Amino acid sequence: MAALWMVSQWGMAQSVVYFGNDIGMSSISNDKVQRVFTGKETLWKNGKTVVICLPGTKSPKAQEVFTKVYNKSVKEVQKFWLSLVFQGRAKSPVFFDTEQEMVDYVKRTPGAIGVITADKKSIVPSNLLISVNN
Amino acid sequence: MLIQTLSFWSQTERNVDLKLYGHIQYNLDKFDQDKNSYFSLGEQDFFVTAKLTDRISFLGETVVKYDAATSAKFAPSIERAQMKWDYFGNHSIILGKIHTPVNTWNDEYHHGRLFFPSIDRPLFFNTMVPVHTSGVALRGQYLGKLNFGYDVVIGNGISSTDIYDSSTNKALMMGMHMRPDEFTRIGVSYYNDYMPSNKPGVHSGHSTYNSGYKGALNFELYSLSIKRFTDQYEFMSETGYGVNTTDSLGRAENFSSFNYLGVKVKEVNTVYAIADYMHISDYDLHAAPGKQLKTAIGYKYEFSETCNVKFQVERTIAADNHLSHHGDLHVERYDFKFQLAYGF
Repeated sequence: MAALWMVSQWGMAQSVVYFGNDIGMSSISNDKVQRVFTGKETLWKNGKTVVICLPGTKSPKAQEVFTKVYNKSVKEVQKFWLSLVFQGRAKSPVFFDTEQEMVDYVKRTPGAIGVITADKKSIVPSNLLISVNN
Repeated sequence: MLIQTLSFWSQTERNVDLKLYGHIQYNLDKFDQDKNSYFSLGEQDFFVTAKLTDRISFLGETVVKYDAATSAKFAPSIERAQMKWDYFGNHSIILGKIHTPVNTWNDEYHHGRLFFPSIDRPLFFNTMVPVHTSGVALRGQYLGKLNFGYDVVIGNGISSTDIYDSSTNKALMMGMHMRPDEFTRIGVSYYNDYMPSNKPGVHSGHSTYNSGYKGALNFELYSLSIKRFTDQYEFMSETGYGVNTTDSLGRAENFSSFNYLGVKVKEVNTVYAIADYMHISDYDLHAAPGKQLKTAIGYKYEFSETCNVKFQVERTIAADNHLSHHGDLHVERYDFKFQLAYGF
């Protein structure tokens, strides 16, 4: 109950919620989230490959999510990932036009982690939600 | 049809991703009494990544570029073809043809002009840098709080082709770097290739210089890279110190330093300056002896993350030690260059 409250409060404060499938943890540190979403983590501790899910450029929520996660514009985030993948240092994230598509993908993909705006939290199954701690 | 299939995979399971990078350029140059003005079609870079299993992936970079030796004057060239196995955490083993990670430029920009901060590579890429290696690499990245990384590469030497190396000695490269924050990368490396028989190679830069020397040559390169790209400014320094040793002329010590400073204005504009110096020793039997100093100012405008243009004005002074008794910098050349770079 306390954990759920924390998730909710964190989600409201950040305006985004994180969710994942078989990533070996139900809570994650803020530092770890930053490392994961900047391509600095290849594998989860349970051995599953990290699969990052992000809103695509057609998503109306992309800028809101990228501001919260990266503090960068959509263009800068796209540029960052183009460069990192070209270097061969990270696998490309999977980009989605809608939140529902992202949730469906995470549901069927072990190791996947996604992020959407908090107002769409209700479409995420509760067992996939990840709490973020400082 | 192939592209449609790849695109379909890309949109669904994301197993295969295909991208194209390229550039188109205009040059106006003045060298002594000679003046030239021309457009040129740059490298067209087909970049593909694929996930084969959870831990095994493929990366390929095939470039179609100008080749005077062919009837069509353009030919494909495999620049990278590598299989990577992520065996533990952020540690991986790579097998195939890679860009030798001796410095930041060669490790990050490869053939993608879209990512180049300036129009051209540093000068020493033409003479001192072993651009490619076919072999095996051990890589670690983003380790610890300083995001420490390492590369150990063992592979065919700089005089090899993509399918054969006449030498049983393999080249060795060891490098490490750290990224103390999201803007900064600092790295050092050492590369060594002992060639029982010296010959110019396609992997030692793009120079085809042939001194005629066929004896043994020990090629060593020490590199230092410092890069800091923030939202306000960009700084990059690539330094190389090479020692090529032969029985006939002894040690030839070469030096090169590329320095770039850019100031960003409103995210899409960058005004920059370059100072690029290279000195190849008179005693060198692998690269052409000489000195070059290139200074340039430029401007980059980014239409989007997939398209940018650069304008660059350059002055190059050079000395060819075969022509100048004193090796003084005396040959002047001026260039104006415009480059449109794209990737999608």
